[in-house]
Amino acid sequence: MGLTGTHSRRQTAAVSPTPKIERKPLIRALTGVLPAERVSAANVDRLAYARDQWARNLLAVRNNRPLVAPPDVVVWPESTSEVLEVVKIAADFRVPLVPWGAGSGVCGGAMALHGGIMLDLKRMNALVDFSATDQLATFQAGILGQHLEDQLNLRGTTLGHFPSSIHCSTLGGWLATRSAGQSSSRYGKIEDMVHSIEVVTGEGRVMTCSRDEEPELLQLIVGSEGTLGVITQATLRLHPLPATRTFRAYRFADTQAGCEAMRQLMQRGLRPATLRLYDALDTMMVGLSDESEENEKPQGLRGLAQRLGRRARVMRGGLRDWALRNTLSHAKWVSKAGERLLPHVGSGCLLIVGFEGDISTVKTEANEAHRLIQALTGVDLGAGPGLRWFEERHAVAFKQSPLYASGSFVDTLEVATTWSKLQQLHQAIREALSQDAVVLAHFSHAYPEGCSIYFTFAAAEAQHPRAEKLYDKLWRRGLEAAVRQGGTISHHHGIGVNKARFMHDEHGPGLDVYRQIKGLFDPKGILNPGKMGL
Amino acid sequence: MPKRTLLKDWVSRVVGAVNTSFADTDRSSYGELHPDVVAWPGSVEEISSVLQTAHDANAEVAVAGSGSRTRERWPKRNNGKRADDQRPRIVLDTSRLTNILEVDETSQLVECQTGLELRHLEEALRRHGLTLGPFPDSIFTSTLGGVLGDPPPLAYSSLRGPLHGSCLGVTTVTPLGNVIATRVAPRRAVGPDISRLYIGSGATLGVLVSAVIRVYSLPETNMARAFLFPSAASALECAREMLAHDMRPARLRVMANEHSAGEVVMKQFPAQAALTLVFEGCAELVELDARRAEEIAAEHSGSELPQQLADHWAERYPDPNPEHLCHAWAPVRHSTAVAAGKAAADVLGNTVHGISYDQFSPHGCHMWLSVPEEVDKERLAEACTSAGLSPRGRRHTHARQHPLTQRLRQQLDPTRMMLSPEWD
Ligand SMILES: Cc1cc2nc3c(=O)[nH]c(=O)nc-3n(C[C@H](O)[C@H](O)[C@H](O)COP(=O)(O)OP(=O)(O)OC[C@H]3O[C@@H](n4cnc5c(N)ncnc54)[C@H](O)[C@@H]3O)c2cc1C
Repeated sequence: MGLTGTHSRRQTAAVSPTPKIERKPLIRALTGVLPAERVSAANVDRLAYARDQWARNLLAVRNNRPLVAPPDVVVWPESTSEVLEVVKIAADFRVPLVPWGAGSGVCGGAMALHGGIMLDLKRMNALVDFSATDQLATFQAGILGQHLEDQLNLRGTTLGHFPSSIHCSTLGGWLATRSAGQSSSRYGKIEDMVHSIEVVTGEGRVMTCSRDEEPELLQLIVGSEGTLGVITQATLRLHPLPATRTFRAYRFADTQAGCEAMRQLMQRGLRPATLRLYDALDTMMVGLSDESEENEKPQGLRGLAQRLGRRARVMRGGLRDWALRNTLSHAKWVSKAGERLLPHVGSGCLLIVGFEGDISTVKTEANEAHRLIQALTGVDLGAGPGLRWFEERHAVAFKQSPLYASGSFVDTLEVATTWSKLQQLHQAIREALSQDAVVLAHFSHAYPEGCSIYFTFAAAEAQHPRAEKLYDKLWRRGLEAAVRQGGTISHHHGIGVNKARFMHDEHGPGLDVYRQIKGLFDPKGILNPGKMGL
Repeated sequence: MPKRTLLKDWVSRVVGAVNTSFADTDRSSYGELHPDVVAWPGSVEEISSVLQTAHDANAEVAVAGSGSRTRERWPKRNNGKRADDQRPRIVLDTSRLTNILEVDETSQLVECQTGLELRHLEEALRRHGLTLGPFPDSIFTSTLGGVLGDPPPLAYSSLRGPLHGSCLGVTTVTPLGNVIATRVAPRRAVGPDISRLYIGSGATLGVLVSAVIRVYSLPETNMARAFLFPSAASALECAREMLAHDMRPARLRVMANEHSAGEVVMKQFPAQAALTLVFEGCAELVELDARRAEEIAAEHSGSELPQQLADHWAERYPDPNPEHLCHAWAPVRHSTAVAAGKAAADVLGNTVHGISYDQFSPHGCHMWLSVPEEVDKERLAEACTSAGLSPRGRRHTHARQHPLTQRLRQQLDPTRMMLSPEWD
């Protein structure tokens, strides 16, 4: 297959162009440190690694332009010393080196914008050490999330990290992006779970840092998205497998009332493993129904809304494409109508609360939560919606293709702020996006001091480059609103290319400190260039 | 080098004459520092200007809070006088930076300037029904800047983690006078956590001016428990099991007499180990945890000690060690805790007055060795090495001395303007 297509350098104008890469000597050097079968410049491999799961890349694929940013060569090291050798070669040749976990990143972080070496860590997937007594385990960084969790489960433990992408993302990717799982309110985010890491810096040194000895350095490398070093292994804090798990769902009149319940629950010291509040439209899509509700057969507009919600979930094929495109191309109208109608339809907002752990603790915490939520006017919907969510919690990935095929696109934007600013942030971003997109949101990842909001926005535009323009406009508007309201521009997806131009708004002069740190870790600037606004 | 009067003029133009001094009485109140000028800035802008002035004057700057803890360790000056070729020295005293800028009751956050002593902050918080958390009394005489710049090892709770871990954002001024205010959110995924860089770095990378700290509702109730075990091993195993099973005591400590003279505490229980706990929070959970603590202790041959004793230890917690002893401490994992204590005792013999363990998490704890001040320091160092302890026992020593941190300091402060009590 010949390599044709567009090598997009769209958002990287600020980065000085890399000199043309001499591929042959580079490959010769790489095959000097790795077996030939673990070094590839084959077009099929370069195509496979030419993009990650950034939605803008999916637009490119839809428009038959899959070769967004192909690397010159792909390598698959198996050990820290092999990674070290590859980094040294990249430094000697002054070529970019991009760490690749599983490519599930949604911000363009793992794209070889300037070509160079794509370093795939997936062969580094060993369990290095496990201590039941200390509840610590060390894994190589390339292990896939579900494999890691399976290994721990076999030993009676869990990491407690369950991103929707658990089947297609790696430990190294999680650490590099500060990933969050669906049980973060109980177990924290990945940066809370890591005890120590080993990293190969751009200077060509192997460095370890731990929570006990070098906490500051640890928290510099975590979240650096491959710009400071390649994470080669990490020691993680574990928990015993929960003895039990319970769910209960509630309905609230609006997000404000639901958020108040979440806030009080977290500040009371309860530790729910699941705490998710859906806004009215998202509630309609998810569906409120529990068996007990079905029996009640809700009447009027509320019943209609619930039935519509269920319909939307089961609709198939051409009819759905047509309905989707039509709905999305009138996004502004749909949003306005939704705003007016939804409060009267009265489906309200769904809150799912789940606890897991020791039996007596779970029982006490669930009772306490139930008492608190009922006092705050939450209507008990039973276990059904929570159990259904639990069953489908990793299915999100497979719902995107039909939408893209229908000539539309969908993406997610996750922000966070303190409780006192949360409603304004929600309102501002919703308004900013809903002029051109249909917007749903849920509140998850709750902490005693605040919460994240996860927006899903979908819009219709099939044509290139209009689709990309609309896509960029929506992101610009959304993030401008986040910055204006004092929220953070990312809670757990990271920055990559997509949010890079907002890094200055997020950090102010702190970005210069990051640049200086980068200069120390990676003096030749070879690591993942063009990312994070550096 | 500018003359001292000129420097004073420059500084007083920024912070005002009443907030500047070169009187001997003021200058001599900073231990070995002997600055040429003392400045008491009142705002972030003033600090930025003083630092720029210091930079222009090629002066050294030391940041001092009202806490005395840091005062003794500054680099010395001969006879308190500056030689002609020495750089002028400014002390930036933060004792005017005592404002509470915002109490956000909804989000349970407080924004506060770093010169404020924690006991005053705690008093103010209590008026809002809030608290900093279940930390030992001894830390409350420190300023906020003190505990963030050089976190004391005792400022830890098994329920809340280290006090400095509650810091969600900082405003700092870099040595070149740039102001960095990190954005406040419960969690972020926007690259390296720059604010963590300033925590534990003294004032060497920048001056911490204010911080946003997570605070908590005043606990509904609290309850203390104490148990006696036949050995350190059984007490430590019990503590480990409690944490592995979801219990989150506000405080947890094990005091082991097995390898020590036991003079620190519990003389009445030779060769045994005691485990003390305090639970706090919502009544239902506290009661549940206290009940489960009794069950788990019993499974490990622990017998409950009288409530009076539990309450007594809870009150004195976690600093029951007499002042005349010196302490070495370090993190140990559960799997090595017992062996570390034994290894230290083997070297030190009966000079060990106490071995205790606190700062528990499900993954490990900190071990403390208490020995008399006059103990042979070489033997102590040897004992620490064989126990895997750091003899100096300072949490942030490692990170600060890490070559990368040193080089970063070189970059952020190329003229080495900022003085550090420990580094120089
Ligand atoms: C359907 C779907 C659902 C998702 N759900 C979630 C979710 O619930 N929570 C969540 O947090 N995220 C989610 N994501 C986003 C994504 O899965 C995360 O960002 C994940 O952490 C990326 O891991 P990865 O191994 O695929 O990394 P990649 O995409 O390969 O890389 C991401 C970034 O990290 C760098 N990197 C990767 N490995 C290393 C390493 N070893 N050392 C240094 N840098 C490295 C890369 O260079 C890149 O900059 C989802 C994505 C999809 C497609």
